[in-house]
Amino acid sequence: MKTPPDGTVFIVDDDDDFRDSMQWLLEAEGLSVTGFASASAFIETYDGQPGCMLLDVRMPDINGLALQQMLLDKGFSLPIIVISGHGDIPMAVTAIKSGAMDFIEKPFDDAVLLHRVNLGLKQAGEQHRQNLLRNETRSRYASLSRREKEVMALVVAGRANREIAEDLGISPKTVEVHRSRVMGKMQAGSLPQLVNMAGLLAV
Amino acid sequence: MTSAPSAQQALQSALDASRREADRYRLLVEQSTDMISRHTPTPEWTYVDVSPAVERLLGYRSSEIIGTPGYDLFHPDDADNLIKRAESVSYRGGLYTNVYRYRHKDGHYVWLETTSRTIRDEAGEPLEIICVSRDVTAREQAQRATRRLARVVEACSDMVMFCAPDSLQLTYLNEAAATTVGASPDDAVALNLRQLFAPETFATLLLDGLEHAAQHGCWYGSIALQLPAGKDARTAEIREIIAHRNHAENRRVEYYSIIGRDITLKRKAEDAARRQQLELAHMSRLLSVGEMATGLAHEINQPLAAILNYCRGTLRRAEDGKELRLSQALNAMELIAGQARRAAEIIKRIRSYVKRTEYQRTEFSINDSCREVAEFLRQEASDNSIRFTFDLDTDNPGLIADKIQVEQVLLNLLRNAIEAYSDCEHVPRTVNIGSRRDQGYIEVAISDCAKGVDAPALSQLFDAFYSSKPSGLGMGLAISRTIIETHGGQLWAESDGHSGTVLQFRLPVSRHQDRAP
Repeated sequence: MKTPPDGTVFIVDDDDDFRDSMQWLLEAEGLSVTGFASASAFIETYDGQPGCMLLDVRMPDINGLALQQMLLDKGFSLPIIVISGHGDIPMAVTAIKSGAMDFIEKPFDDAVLLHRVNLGLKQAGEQHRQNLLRNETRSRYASLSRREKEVMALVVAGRANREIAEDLGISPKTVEVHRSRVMGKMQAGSLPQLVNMAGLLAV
Repeated sequence: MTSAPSAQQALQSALDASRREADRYRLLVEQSTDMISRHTPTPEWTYVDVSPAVERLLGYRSSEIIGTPGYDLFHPDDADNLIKRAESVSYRGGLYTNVYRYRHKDGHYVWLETTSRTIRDEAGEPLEIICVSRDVTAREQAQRATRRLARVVEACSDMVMFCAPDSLQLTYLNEAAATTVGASPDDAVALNLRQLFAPETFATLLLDGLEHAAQHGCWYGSIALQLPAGKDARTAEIREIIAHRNHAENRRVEYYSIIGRDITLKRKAEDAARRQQLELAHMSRLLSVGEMATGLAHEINQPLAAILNYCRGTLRRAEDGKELRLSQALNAMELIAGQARRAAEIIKRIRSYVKRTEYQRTEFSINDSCREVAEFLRQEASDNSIRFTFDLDTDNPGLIADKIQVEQVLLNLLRNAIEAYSDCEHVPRTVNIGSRRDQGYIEVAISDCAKGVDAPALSQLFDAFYSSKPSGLGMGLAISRTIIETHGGQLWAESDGHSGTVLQFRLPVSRHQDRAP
């Protein structure tokens, strides 16, 4: 059996029976699923856990679009697949334009749904890894001294050691020492890697 | 010495006798009130002699008229009656009788009835015409008046029948009556009044009516006739009975006039109107469902989509490498069955709502109806983020009325309230449904907190084809009011124009009295 991707599928739909049936379907593929009857119920408990969301766009109280906005406001980026029934296409289109990953009409082809959910989880996983890497890189960067940060900036800009020495008013030898310490602390195996890390930090 | 009467004396005696006889006849002629005249047997009909009565009848003295052409005094229309064998001429035993107009000396016409005989010689040639004439002006005018009245009765669109007092045999039917009872005017006189009514009706209502008319002169009311059945069956009622008494001292009833009206067309029109109202109510229900189609389709889609998920989920669990316990499969099937029932319920509700029905009075709970209709609209309310709240009478009052139509009204009012919020940002969006028993009536109120309706719009709210929605047909509230009023109730709206609207109706509970204390 194929190992399912990590992460939880969050189902937000006010129709209890339908939500239960979706859970039945997704769990058949070994996915981990949690259901919520309303957007507010979800918001109360969600704390950034990785996963993707299946969201019914037609709901009383807070509707799907509002929930999307709330997540954005809180800085969460959860891939959202919008579920629409007949006649909801305009709403679904708006949802996509507001950043939802995809939409699917019910009753749906389960293979298509599972495929999209997997994509969503993969995307979530990817984002999660990116976040971790960014955090890791940030903490490494924080451990550099002021001089080392200056050297790294100029190395990444493509300056030669001699030029860096001139810019900073230190000896080329000192530049070499700083440079090797930077590579070590940043755990970069090559110059291109260091450049990538710098790119991450800039974002 | 006496001699035998001579021939001369005998002759003289005979002459005297003749003279006396002639005088006697002359006296008869001169004293007769009828005018006796002798005329030449010519077209001019010249007066040869005429009795003194001519002066009384025609204003002429005998001497003035003798020798003048009698033909000239005829009224132009009647002049050639004899020749034309007009209706006014009759012949019997050598005598012609003619009724005609003749000019009086003063210029006006009088009606004369003249009997005439032609006197002929031995060869059969006409010698003269002898006429006896009588003024029948009064009689003729009376007869004409009677004929006019008879024509009115005959042509009257109301039924008129005459019937004999004791036997109740019909002596006359006008054309309208004959047509209605299905008789030809000839065999109408073979009918008895008893044949026209149902036995109980005859024994009670009709005999009472006759009795009342006999005592008071006339009777007014409404009694249904029993007429031959069939596809051209007619419906008619007796409206009036008049008792005609003779003028002798006993003042007995001589005959009854019975006046009635054929209400077949009126009844047909009433039936047609009622059928049309049912049609309209039915159309309105179809229209409502059509407008709700998107929501209803979504509502049915839900259980279908759930069924699909349960099936696919179970099938996937049965694939190679995975484990499916029988209990799981059975559980899934139970859930599938439940969802199928859910879909079936929605379909059933729609079906029973759009059914074309006759008026049916049944007893039902108004609270149950309020809840069911709210459930029917759950999706539509949810789509518009509207919540229903209930304030129903705790005694759960019952009501005898047409359930489908009352629920149709509830649906229209609730949809109206939902619609009221469409251009209003107010939250929370609630629609309250309240019911209350108030003595012999049940009151239901649907209230919203939307923008309200201003006074001019309020007065037009229930007009047919008045709609504030661009796509609306505007029949919902008009039909609702018709339904409520047909049940003997009232439907009205109240609004202050800005903070909301209340749509309310009152229905009589039923005609039955409560058994509860």
